[in-house]
Amino acid sequence: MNRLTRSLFFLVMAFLYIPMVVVVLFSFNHSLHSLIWHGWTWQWYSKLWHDALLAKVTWHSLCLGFSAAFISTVLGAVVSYSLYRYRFFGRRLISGLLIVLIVIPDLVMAIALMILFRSAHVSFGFVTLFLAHVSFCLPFSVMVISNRLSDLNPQLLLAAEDLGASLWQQWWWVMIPAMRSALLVSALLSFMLSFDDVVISFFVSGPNYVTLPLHVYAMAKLGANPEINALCSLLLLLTVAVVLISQRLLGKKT
Amino acid sequence: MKKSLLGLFLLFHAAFAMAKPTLYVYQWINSIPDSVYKQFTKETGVPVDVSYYESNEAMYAKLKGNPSLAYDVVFPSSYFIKRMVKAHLLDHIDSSIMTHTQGIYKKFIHQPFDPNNDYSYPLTWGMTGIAVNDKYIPLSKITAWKDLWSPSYRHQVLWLNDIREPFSVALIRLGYSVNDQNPTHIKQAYALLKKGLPNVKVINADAMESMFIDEDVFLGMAWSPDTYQASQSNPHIHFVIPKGRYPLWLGCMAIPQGSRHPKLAMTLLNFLLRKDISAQIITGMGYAVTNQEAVKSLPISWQEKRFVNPSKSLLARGEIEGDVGDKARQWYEHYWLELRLSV
Repeated sequence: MNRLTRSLFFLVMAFLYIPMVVVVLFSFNHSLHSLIWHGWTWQWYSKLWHDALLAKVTWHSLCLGFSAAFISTVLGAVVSYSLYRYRFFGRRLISGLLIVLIVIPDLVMAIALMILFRSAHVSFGFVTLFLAHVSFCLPFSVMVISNRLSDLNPQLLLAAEDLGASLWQQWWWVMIPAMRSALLVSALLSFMLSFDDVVISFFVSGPNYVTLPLHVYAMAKLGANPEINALCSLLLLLTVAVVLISQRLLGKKT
Repeated sequence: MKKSLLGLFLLFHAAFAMAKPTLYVYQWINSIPDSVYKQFTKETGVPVDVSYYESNEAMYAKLKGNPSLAYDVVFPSSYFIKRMVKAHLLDHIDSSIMTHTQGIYKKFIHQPFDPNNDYSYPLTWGMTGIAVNDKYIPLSKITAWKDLWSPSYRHQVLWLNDIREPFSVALIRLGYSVNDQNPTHIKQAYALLKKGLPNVKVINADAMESMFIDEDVFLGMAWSPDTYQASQSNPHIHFVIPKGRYPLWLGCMAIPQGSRHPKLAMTLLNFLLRKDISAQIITGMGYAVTNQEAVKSLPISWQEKRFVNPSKSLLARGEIEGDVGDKARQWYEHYWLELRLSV
């Protein structure tokens, strides 16, 4: 690297990471409103710890994220497998439609889902959020897993079949080990997509099930609150941990 | 597969219907303290589940998008009530359940936006005035709305980022009503605001408190409860109520159409108006409440505050922000956009 590219590199890195540093720094600021430094404090973290409402909405988001990630990864694996293994009428149409779901604006999907749930008389709450989150995570799962499968030697499955493996055995001994890293990536991606969605959740959530991003959005809109900074810092820590763990897992297995 | 899915839905429906009633409250963030709802649960055994919105528009979008959402209580501003009634979003309130309404200032009930209080009751109220930091600007210098236009405060003034407030101020200066619907008058107000633009440093409402506390701004339009909150952190901040008229807004309570327990919701509305509960709302966030009895039970330091315990003449100067109708609202929005673009 020459000097120009190196300084450019640092500039870009600074641009990307300084905002996060600021958030973390201000989560320790001893002042409720101010953006001026007033000394160190842990009080926002202890306040966060005792905030029952925030705990509840965080729990909601975690439950939703885990269940959406799990189901969309399972469905994603099944869909990818079918697309990979079988040649059937409408196969290309299905993969095309899945890509459309990725590019479609969130807002369109949100309104469409809301109208659908309304006309089906589903009461808005966990069920609607879950269905919505699975439907926007699924295309990403399929993309990640299909991508992995396209590298897979098709002879492997034929060999397994030849050796007398049943469909379940083929899945358990061949497909799942081959897809392991992709399954993990798909689950992580789906969890993250679900965990920070605001637009779609806003339209399909009900009074009894509010998610963390919706609550934070309402909090942040009326004045910066150091409790949010503390929360964001913790989420940042969680994200870094997840990335490190998944990198280690992936590094070992593939 | 289809059948089992259907069964799952029915199960959820049944579980929803059989559960003991919970009241779902949808309210402004930082408005009514949790302790109030805890007390309601203690007295009635009915749990209250609160979720929050940050603007009338967000709440309206949510309810308009799906009027069958099971919210039991919402808190629209006075100028949003008529719009929501017209859109069939609100349920009738049975006045016979509302037994704590006699303490409400006469000025605040039977407003044109809801003449018989069929759909809403006011709970909180506030003034739009001027916040001043006396470290930089002597309080005696700021007495009237026109001072915000004074050439000595070039590039120093904060305007509230809210379509209604700056226009209300301009309309008051022109001698018109804050609810004026005449396009010519609105245009005149726009021209007056445009003349004030060189004085504007920032147009903001969300971060107004911190800007005043950090002394990024010393002068600007302000809401009374926000200014009170700011003055708690920075005692140099004062709330000035300008000479003549000022805009007055009401925080109303209403019951959405989708409420599963409207009778219970009315009990909650009535409970919030009760003297001791309203008093908790004052001390919690510094909001003035419509029940004039409430403030009398508080320590003298609260009774001395003009924005929660106004004199008759002060209250008379306030002009309540009501509905302006769809047509006029479009004019307001049009001119507001032009102002924002020319900052």
